[in-house]
Amino acid sequence: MPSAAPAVQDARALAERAADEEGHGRWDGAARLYALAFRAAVLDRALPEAANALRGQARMRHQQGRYDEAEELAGLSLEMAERSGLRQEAARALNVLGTLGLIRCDWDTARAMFDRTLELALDIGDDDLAGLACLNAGVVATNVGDPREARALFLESIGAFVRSGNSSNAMRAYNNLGMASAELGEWMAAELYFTRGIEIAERLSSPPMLARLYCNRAEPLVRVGETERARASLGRAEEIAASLGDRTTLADVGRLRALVARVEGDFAAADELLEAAHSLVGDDPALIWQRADYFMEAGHLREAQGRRPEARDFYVHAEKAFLSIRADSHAREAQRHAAALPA
Amino acid sequence: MDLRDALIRVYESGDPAAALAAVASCIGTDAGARCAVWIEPSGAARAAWPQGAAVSPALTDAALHVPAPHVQPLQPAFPDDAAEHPGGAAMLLPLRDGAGPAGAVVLIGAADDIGDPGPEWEALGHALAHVGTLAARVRELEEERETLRRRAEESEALHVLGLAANRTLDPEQVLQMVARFTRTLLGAHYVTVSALDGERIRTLASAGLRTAASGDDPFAARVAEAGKPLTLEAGAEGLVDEPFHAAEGMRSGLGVPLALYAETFGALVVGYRRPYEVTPRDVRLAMTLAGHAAVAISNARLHGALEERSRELERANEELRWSAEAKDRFFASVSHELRTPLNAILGYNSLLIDGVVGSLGPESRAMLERAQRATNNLLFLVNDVLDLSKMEAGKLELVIQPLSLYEVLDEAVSTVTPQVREKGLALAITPHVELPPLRSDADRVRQILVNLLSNAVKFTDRGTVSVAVAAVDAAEGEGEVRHWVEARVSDTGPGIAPEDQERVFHEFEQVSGASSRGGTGLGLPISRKLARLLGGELRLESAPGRGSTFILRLPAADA
Repeated sequence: MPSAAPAVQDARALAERAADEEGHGRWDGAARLYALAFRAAVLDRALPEAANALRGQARMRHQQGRYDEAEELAGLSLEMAERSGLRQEAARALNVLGTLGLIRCDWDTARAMFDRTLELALDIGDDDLAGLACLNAGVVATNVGDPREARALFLESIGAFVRSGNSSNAMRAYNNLGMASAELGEWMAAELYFTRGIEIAERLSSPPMLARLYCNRAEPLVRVGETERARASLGRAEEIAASLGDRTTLADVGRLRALVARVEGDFAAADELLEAAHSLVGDDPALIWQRADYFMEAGHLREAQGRRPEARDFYVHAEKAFLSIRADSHAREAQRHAAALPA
Repeated sequence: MDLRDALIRVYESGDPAAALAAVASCIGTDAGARCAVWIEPSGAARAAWPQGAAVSPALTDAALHVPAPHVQPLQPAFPDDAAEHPGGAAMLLPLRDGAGPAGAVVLIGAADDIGDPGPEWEALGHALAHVGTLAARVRELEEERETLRRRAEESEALHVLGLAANRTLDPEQVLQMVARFTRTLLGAHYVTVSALDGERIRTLASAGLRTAASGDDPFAARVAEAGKPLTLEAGAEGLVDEPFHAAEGMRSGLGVPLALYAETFGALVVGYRRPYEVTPRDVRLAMTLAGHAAVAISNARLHGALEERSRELERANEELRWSAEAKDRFFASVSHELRTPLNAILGYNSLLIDGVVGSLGPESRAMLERAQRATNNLLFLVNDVLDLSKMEAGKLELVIQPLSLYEVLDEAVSTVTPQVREKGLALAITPHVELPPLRSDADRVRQILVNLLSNAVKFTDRGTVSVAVAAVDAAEGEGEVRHWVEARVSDTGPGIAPEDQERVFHEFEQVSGASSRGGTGLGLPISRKLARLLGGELRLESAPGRGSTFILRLPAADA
């Protein structure tokens, strides 16, 4: 096989460096390198490299919160790939566009993009991408309040990741499957799925996911009456999250510790723990989910304490917070709780 | 580095690339002139130093065929290699492990730097072969571990699917879940789950079909009939020779039977719209997933059969309920309609017997009196049937109030006194004992007592009919005592055999010899039902030839 032209080699090398920067979370550097890679690829009319570099740029704009630019770049990458018959690049661009739809809470567009990604991924036999498409579509289903469909999609993604051998993505799929099962009130199954995810995360030495999985496993354990194990799971999550500086997980751990205390009837401790969790969440816009969850738990606690007007206020706050991120089914749940209490 | 140091480093390396680098350092110091290549017995390069180094096929072939370490000038036999390494020579080092030839190593350096192929080079050859064998074994084990890990992940995923399926009661949802999961686990474009339905085969669930499955799928039928996995491959025209799947664009496919309890009843078909070679892994996984689908279909069928059976039972129950209600309505209506004319007959008869419309001759009177008795009996029967139907329908109304058993007993005794006199019997009432009051329905208690006394008179030809009353305390549960009032009505009649004693309480049943004494066979069953409705009991003590005693027990008012 003849060796690639120097410009293409440059483009590839630049894209590799960009991916490395991306892997380290250095979005600005990665974006610059992807832009250079794109220019180098265009110089030699190397379309696959150009489409990949554009997609990389789109991902970086997404990370930087510049969603309009991200969408434009991903759209251009898709068009370039489709016009050139580059199906793999097209499928990946579609996946990026779907993810942007997810960020914008445009569920219909996101789902349509992920469905197209799946079809293309199956056409080209890219099992990993097929799995990602299902995983992302499952997130859409969760957000529109259809946990059954979400469960089916997460199962599909596990099938694909098992086929591709990508344990890291399978671990994420098990986490999401656990969340969908918890949403359905299938606590024992949820616990099992989180435990499966933990096994993989331990094997892969993936602390961020490990912290999240240990944290997520706590509520199913509480619901099946295993508060001791729940406490241990939260302890492990907190230990790892603290070492990573993961505020999201730490906030969730605090809220779930309050849940354990409430379930055990220790309302004073629950109050204290919840207050600590609240101070972690603060007004950070990135932690809006955590804030909404905090309001819900505060509502439950006040209700258990017989302070019904306060409980109602918390549920109303939770409803607003959920609505702001278009988590409609959660908002409805909060509204239902508020409506059950006198004004 | 001398050869001894190299030998130690080779053993320490445990890795062909590192071992090769150690050996290469023994052939001079001019790094630019040196290279080393490790060749597999097949001729493929296993490792190279520096990375990317290569030797010509001719030199490879020569290295694999030398029996012992051998120094080979590159010029003139190997011009390609000589062109890359001008003035170079090669040390050809054959490798041998316990199983025989294990490839070779070619070391190229400046001709002056390549030493003599002595025993130390042979030792290096052995060391390299040893490292190579170990590394190959490690690689095998790693591959095995990876295979096992993937198997474990597959099993885990199948287990997860089973868990999710078990939590879903709707078989359609389960089949849909299986179809979708199969699709991604096998990387297929679409999956169908079909089941035989008489002569046809119907698609029950699918994932990824371009058009909704409507027609039959002969391939699925073929798989079901074969009872084993079958594959489909595209022909020269690019599509498979099965209309259903050709319409879906299938270029490669796999069908596995759905079987449970030795019965094959459908197929799971996996379709690829691209060229694809079905692997044994695909077949194994598809078979397992088909098992899930088979269980779901079997459950659905059982569920359907159970529902149909439940509906049948519900229909039968409804009919029974309707029949019972119709019977009650019939009895109530007929009894009511009969009582009215019977009362009219009795009334007119009485007028005739009393001579209101003119005097009667003795024969006419006797006939009318017989007619009067028969009509009375018929009226009793009608009343009994009416009572029974009311009790069975739960519509008998009781008027519960405090009452004295003595008062009710007096009334009952006066009712039967004429019959007692007529038969010349004695009627003995036990001396007065103090009784607690009852809370009961006086009319119904009287009805029971009259019935028991009438029976006693009826079955006693000689002797005495006696009534004894008593207050009885009975222990119930731990330390609890209930207070009862008992009336025992005894006769000196023929008595009742033990095997007939329960039958006397069955409706329309009379024991041997009873039918000749008249009666409907309803008196005792009605009396027992009434006693139970009043919270008491009616039982019998008797022995053939020793008369009978019916014991009515009713709860005392303070009970």
